Amino acid sequence: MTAHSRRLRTDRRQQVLLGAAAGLYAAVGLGVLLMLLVSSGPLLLRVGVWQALLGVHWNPLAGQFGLVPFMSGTLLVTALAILLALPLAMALAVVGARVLRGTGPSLMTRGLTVLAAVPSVIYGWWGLTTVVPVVRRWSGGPGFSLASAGIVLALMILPTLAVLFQDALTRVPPTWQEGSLALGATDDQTLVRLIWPAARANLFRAMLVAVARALGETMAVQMVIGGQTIWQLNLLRPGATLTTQILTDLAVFPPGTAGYRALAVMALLLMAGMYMLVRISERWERTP
Amino acid sequence: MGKVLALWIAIGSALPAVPRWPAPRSISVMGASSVLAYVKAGARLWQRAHPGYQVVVSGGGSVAGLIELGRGHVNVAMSDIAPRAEWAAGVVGFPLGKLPILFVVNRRAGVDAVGANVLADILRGRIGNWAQVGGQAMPVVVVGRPLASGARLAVERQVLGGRGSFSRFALMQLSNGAVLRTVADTPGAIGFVEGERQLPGVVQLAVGGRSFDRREPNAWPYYAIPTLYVNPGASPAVLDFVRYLARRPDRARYGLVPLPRGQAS
Amino acid sequence: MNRRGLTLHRAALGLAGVTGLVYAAMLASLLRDGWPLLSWRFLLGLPRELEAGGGVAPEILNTFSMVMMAMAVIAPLGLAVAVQRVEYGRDVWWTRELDRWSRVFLSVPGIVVGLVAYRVLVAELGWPVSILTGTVALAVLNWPFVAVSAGDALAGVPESLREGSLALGTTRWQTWLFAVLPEALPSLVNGLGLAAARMIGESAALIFTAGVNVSPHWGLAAPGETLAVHLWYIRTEGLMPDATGQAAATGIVLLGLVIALLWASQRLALWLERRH
Repeated sequence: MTAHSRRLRTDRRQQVLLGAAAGLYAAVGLGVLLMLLVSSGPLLLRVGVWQALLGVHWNPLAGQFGLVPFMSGTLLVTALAILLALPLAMALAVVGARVLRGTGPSLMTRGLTVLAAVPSVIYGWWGLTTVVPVVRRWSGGPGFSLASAGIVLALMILPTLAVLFQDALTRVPPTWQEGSLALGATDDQTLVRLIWPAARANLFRAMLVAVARALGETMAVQMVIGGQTIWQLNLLRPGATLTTQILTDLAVFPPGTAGYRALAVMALLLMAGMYMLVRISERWERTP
Repeated sequence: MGKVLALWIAIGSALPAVPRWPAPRSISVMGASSVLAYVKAGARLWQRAHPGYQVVVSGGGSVAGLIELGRGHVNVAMSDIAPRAEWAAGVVGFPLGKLPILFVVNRRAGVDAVGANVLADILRGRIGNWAQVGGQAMPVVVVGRPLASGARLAVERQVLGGRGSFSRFALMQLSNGAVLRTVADTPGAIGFVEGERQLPGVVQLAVGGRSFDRREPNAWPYYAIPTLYVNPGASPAVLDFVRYLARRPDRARYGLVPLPRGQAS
Repeated sequence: MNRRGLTLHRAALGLAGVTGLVYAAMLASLLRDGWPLLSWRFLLGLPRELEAGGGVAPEILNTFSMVMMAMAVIAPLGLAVAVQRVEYGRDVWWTRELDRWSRVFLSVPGIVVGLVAYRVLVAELGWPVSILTGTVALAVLNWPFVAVSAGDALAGVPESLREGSLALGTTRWQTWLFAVLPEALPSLVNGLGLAAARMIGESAALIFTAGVNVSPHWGLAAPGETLAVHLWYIRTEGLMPDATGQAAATGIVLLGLVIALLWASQRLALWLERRH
């Protein structure tokens, strides 16, 4: 047996091992999804998908499982967080990629990475002691609101978004920028007319990552949103999101009850939303 | 694809064959968060006297604890709620004592005493402004706990006369600590917390002419009775552990008021 | 830099400064509350329920051991998945779906994974709520993160390197092990550092699976309250008179761990890159 054929045998063995790891990986993921599907299936079949999803009343003790308040809460809070975080993250990215020199950019990236890893409990408590009172003074309401949740969430996703933005900006080839400046364009013109368009796809995909993070965040949002299950669209009033409602009502519904199934539907909805984001992100992958 | 499917099926069918982890010297406790501090402290002391045992305490709420006990997944359930047959049938309870439920109001509301009916109407959301009950002109903000909370159930039973009547506009907080903070910070807020504890920044409400006094705890009418539940066939070690917790003399330091004789179990 | 036309850049600098101030205020409030309590007694002591002056030594030990064990499992497994997908992967519909769902699971709420882990391990298999169960929950939650970041690291290696290696007559495993992996190692290490930081901060998945108390004797079957769970517990039900300070001090220790870990992994990555 030659050395090469031995190596080929190792290759086959290794392929089997790696395949097994990937198989286990897929099995764990499928298992989680299947458990959610099995838990939610009976409810979806019984009430009918649309009635279950499109009801606006959440009163599980009376058998009402409308999910609209939570879907609307999730969308509003996420939209607000993204709107707030976008300009700030872009400002940080521009500073990191184009203003700072030397070790500045890498120091900033490190700081932002640490902020991105700060546990959500810390953000949540800080929101409760600082953000909520500010919103209260400003709006006159209770302070616990969709707006507070959006602000806390914006602070949580900002570091991630800024790092990804900075990365996207620095990927634009320096020669292009030098060319633009050499042609007499100002730095602002270079940024707006060259760098942003060139980094467009990566910037957009970075935003989708931030949206996904915002959709899934639970602990911090729950502490400042108020947890009110009545459907309303005023940002300065309390509300609830899919994740916070899963957190607050999970303990009261044992597996097998209609309430538990409704919560499983919420988890599935979240996963479906994130899957859509990934699909959208893929479309932008090869766009220049 | 076929390979992956076959692998998946193989893993799935192998799962039940994974050896059950024999942990006879492990006692798991699950349930209400209101007595976590007491049970955690007690568990540590009990383990010192019983080396080799691991007592694991986890949260999840009263209902979750009872259901998992009923299914035999945990050894002890901590609950403020009496077990229903469909959760856990035939379980044995060891009450830890009475845990007073105190009503707290934000300082700026200007109210420190109300009648029991007025309190009920406030919590139902029928009284919208403190001026209606002699306080400042300021909207009432009810702060509650989620459906899973034993404290909320006790309030609904003892003050509101039934489930489902709690104000639908109430703010929800997950724990006593968060409720306290919310009431202290929100003008016009009212809420309830379990156990006699430091109440910084809030007014403790007298209800129907009675206010909680630690020297005469039995004069206060609103209580939860946190209880440890075990299955009838519990092992001697589990029984020893819950009896130890139910009898420790320093319960009062955790806000637990010993039950009068005859009221036990 | 060009003198004229800097308005946007100046605005960005201003906004970035304001943002920095907001985060500085946040960290300052944490330090103000927690700093006075930080001491050797806090780091090496046992937690107390009613008295002031408790410590977090068991929580530090639990955090370390659970993160290490979870890392020891998912670092090789995550790398294996990444190698399978990037180096050996075929591009057919189900591998594409696998890649997609990997990215979906990156932002799945911890509580969902914690619950599923609880249902399978504790409810079905009869494991105790313990350090080991919590470790499995952590591993499952972060496996996709390691797989995706390792996959990105491998995909970042230029194709020409593989072609060159294969052209010399090596097999595929030799190619990825000896040609691709050393090149990808720095970003791989960075990704693992981030994964560990994520695990240190996780609380929702552990409240059900690892418990909220600590045991006088450590063991795989012992309860495994981590620093993040301890912080959650103090903030919610803690009865100790110095609860605010305790929580802030725990937060500082937690942040210190995260910073030390990220710093170490970045230094290691840098060292690997230079040596290469």
